[in-house]
Amino acid sequence: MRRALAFLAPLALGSSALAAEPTVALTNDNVVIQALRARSAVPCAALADQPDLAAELYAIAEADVAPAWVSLRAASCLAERFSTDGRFVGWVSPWFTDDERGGLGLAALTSSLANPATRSVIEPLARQAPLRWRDLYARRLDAADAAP
Amino acid sequence: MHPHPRASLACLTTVLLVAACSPDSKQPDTGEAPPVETLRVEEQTVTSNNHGLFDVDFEVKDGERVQLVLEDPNNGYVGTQLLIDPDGNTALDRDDWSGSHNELTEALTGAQYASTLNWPVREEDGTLAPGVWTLSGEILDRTQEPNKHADVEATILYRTDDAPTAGTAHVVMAYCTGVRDQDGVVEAMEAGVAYWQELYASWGITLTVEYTDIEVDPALPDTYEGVEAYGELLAGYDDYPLLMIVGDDINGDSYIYGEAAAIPGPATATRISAVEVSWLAHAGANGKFSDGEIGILGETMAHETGHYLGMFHPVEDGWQFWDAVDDTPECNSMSQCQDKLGANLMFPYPVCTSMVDCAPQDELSDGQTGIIQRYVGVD
Ligand SMILES: [Zn+2]
Repeated sequence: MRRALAFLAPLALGSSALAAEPTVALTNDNVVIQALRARSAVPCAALADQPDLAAELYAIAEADVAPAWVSLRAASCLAERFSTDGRFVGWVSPWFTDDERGGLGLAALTSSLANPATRSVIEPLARQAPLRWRDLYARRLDAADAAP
Repeated sequence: MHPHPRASLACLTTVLLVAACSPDSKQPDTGEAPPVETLRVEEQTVTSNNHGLFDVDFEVKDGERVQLVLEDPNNGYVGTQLLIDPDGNTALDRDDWSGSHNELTEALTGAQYASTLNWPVREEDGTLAPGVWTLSGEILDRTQEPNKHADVEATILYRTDDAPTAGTAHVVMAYCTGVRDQDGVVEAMEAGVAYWQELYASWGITLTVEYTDIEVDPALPDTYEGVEAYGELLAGYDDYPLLMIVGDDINGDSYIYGEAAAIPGPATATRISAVEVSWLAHAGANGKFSDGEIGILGETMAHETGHYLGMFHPVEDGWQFWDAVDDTPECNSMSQCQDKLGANLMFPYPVCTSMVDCAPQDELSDGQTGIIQRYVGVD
């Protein structure tokens, strides 16, 4: 089997009223996408300082970018670096209500566990997520609480 | 630079047992000549001197290649400094590689729990002359100070191989608790395995894969830390299979796609004897697998297993470190390296030609292929 399929799904933003349309136009040579494609994890702090990196990370998280971990990393970095941005809650809330974006929710939740302020924003969302994801989120929260 | 004195002092060496083991030994008695023994195993416990240095002497028979797995029962750090042939010549010296921009084996770096030297690595490393070889190693405690008068457990696997350019490897794929229940994961894993098998078959290695379950939290620790249950599961097999663990994610990062414990990893049963794969990192935002994502999953299995069998990236991201294989092209910039090596299975990242389409990474050089065929766990 060879990987040659272009899965050209449009940007599906779900039906949540909280969903915000990404405002950053992305191209395949976007430097943040390139950095996030690396097989070894790139520290979020090492990402290039774009004029509006938060919006760029949000756009990447929402976009259909291959490989799949690029969007997850973008979601994770968004939560790690920009949880105090005024747009943050509006951006991430749909990830915890839309079953098709629950992986982004898990990435943001995991990233938030190192920062109590961010966790306090995200945990209530995670506790109400669709059932398919809620168990995963709960396990992640329980593991964090059990860690020494 | 070495932080510690070189191995020059003899230390107490205690040979505990010599055990023979052959995967062929279970075959029925047909009245024909017994098959050639392909794998034998020896275990030793040696003791470090007061500089934390130790020697392992082992006798190689004609035509054998070896793997030495060094374990510290106290979970400190252990590694190889020198490998000396029966004539007293140095076959491998950590000093030759410590400042190098080429990477040959992590045995020289040392590791916690277990360190693995598979020899030879490359064709130019030659074959093993029959006779008594010596591995000189170093053991450090958990604060990285020399561990004096400490035991090191050495397991030596000797492989004879009638067909060095072809082989088989037994893979045990183990699902962590609850992972099988996730929609579409089993189907995606099996499709990924089929692609992985296809890739390895093209390099002369037949993978036989069996599936099982393991009672391990699917939020996996990183493979350098490992899990006791990995070693316990492997201890139930007598043919030294490769263990692939399928979990939700690795080390608390929902985006680490897979990880090999070491380059190479141990063929024996230890807590770090595994390749881990995250299903979530491949399934992405929606937790469902597209065909493209299954392709990347199969390549992840092949790539991480490639590390475990001894291959480094042909060039590291940053373009300043390379593998030690002569026939992987030289390059020193992103565009140049992507052009020359982007289709190589061991390239450090997928090269994507559009937002949604990444090119297959399904190539290995002959030199790389030789490395995985020489891994002692591959017959
Ligand atoms: Zn790699």
